[in-house]
Amino acid sequence: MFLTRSEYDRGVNTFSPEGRLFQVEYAIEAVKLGSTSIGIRTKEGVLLAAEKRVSSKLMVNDTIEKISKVDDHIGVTFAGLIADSRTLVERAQVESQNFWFTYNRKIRVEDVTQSVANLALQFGDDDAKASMSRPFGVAMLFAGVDTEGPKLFHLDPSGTFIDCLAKAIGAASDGAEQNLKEQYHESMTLQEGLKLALSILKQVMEEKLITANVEIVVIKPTVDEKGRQVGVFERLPDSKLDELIGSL
Amino acid sequence: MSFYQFALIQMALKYDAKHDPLGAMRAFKTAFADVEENPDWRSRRLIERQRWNPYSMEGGSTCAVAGDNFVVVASDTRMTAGEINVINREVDKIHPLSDNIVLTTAGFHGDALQMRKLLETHLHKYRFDYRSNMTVDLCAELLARNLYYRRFFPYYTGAILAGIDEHGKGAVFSYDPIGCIERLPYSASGAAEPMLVPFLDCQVGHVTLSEGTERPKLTLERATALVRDAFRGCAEREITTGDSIHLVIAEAGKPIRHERRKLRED
Repeated sequence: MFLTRSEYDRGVNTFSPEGRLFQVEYAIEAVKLGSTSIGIRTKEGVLLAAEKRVSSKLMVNDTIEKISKVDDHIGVTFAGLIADSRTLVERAQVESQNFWFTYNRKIRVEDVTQSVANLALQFGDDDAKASMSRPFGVAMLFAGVDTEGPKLFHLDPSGTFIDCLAKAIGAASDGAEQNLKEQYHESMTLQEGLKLALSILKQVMEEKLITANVEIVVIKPTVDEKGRQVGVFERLPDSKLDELIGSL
Repeated sequence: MSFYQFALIQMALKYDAKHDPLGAMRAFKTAFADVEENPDWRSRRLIERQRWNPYSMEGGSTCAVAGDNFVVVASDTRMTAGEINVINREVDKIHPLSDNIVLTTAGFHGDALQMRKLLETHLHKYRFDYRSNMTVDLCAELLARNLYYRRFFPYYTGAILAGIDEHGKGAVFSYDPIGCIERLPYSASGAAEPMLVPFLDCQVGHVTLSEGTERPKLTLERATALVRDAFRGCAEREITTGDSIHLVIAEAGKPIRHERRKLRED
């Protein structure tokens, strides 16, 4: 595919005669260069686990953030060009705050995903309208709890988003997803989910799985002051990670 | 020289205070009033501009009563210019925005229409953005934000938003012109508000009912009957309220119903 470069590679919004948008497809490939992230939805809440790739021991490990907070009840993890994800995460944060400001209520996970998906498609080579000159090279997993319960959404660079039970993105997504398919069941507890996510990461990561190169966020359901179901975003502390990794 | 001294000198020139004290006093008052109303530093244009008022008040009253699974919204249909002059006898001041949201307004009708359009637009956009219909709870918050957004040039309306909430219960939200929002069991707004509120306090809220009196449960029939009575009473005493009552009844799981009753037309 990469050897037969055609003139349809040039314009980002030009279809090839076979009906393909090459730049979007390449963007989807760019996701596979990023480190692996896994999301698992259980009845007790939803979790995100991400590999932190520490390429040099001179890097300050704590500053790498692979899972961002969108709102009190929504978290997001991403794989691909991390710089691109900043724009998308910010859109998600702005959108959820805006919804809360206007309607005095927490936004649904699906609606945040939708608004980010809208931004993902706003690329083009004309300077005037487009905010981005190329597709975003990131895939994202939105996890959260809203009135409908725990939710997990996968968003790819083409702006497609899918409601998932479990999903993996990034370098080892194929292998990880195969594992998820085999081991995921809907009656899974959150604890089982955490173990599953970590054991999959352990299998697929090139480096040894240690506390320093993994990041986990769980979002558990709770009830707000008006009796509505929302979630609480909680980043697992190192002590908890040690315990989990030790138990594998 | 202050204008007191100035006025005194003027007066002294025109009148002899000894022989015509009343005339002197009259001249003083005239000069005083004139100088206060048209001081030298105010140009004609400035005076004209300060007199211009972007608002008008078309009178009328409205109220809403919430029940367990219904809400009754009522309004008169009279529109007046300057209290006496009736300019329309069949104006709809209740605006059903969807199957479970009803907006009702009193005050400046122009602003009321604009507010309605604004909410309708938002409701429409919400349907596309979030793929569901807005509930009255959300719409209530939205209206509060939009009213406060115009903090320094407010919509001159006493708005009430009523409807059936997410739990199937009747809801009434009351506002001031700049978006202070409160969810109440019943509310009234407009020219006859000072008459409607005590009546509803007594009959619906049972706040001012003496002890030992029967406190009947608020059924849909009772709510509509009370609201009709309330407006009949107001039409007697409040001149911008009258002609007819427009009742809008929203019940959980049913389409909105309209009902019209005659009121006195004088």
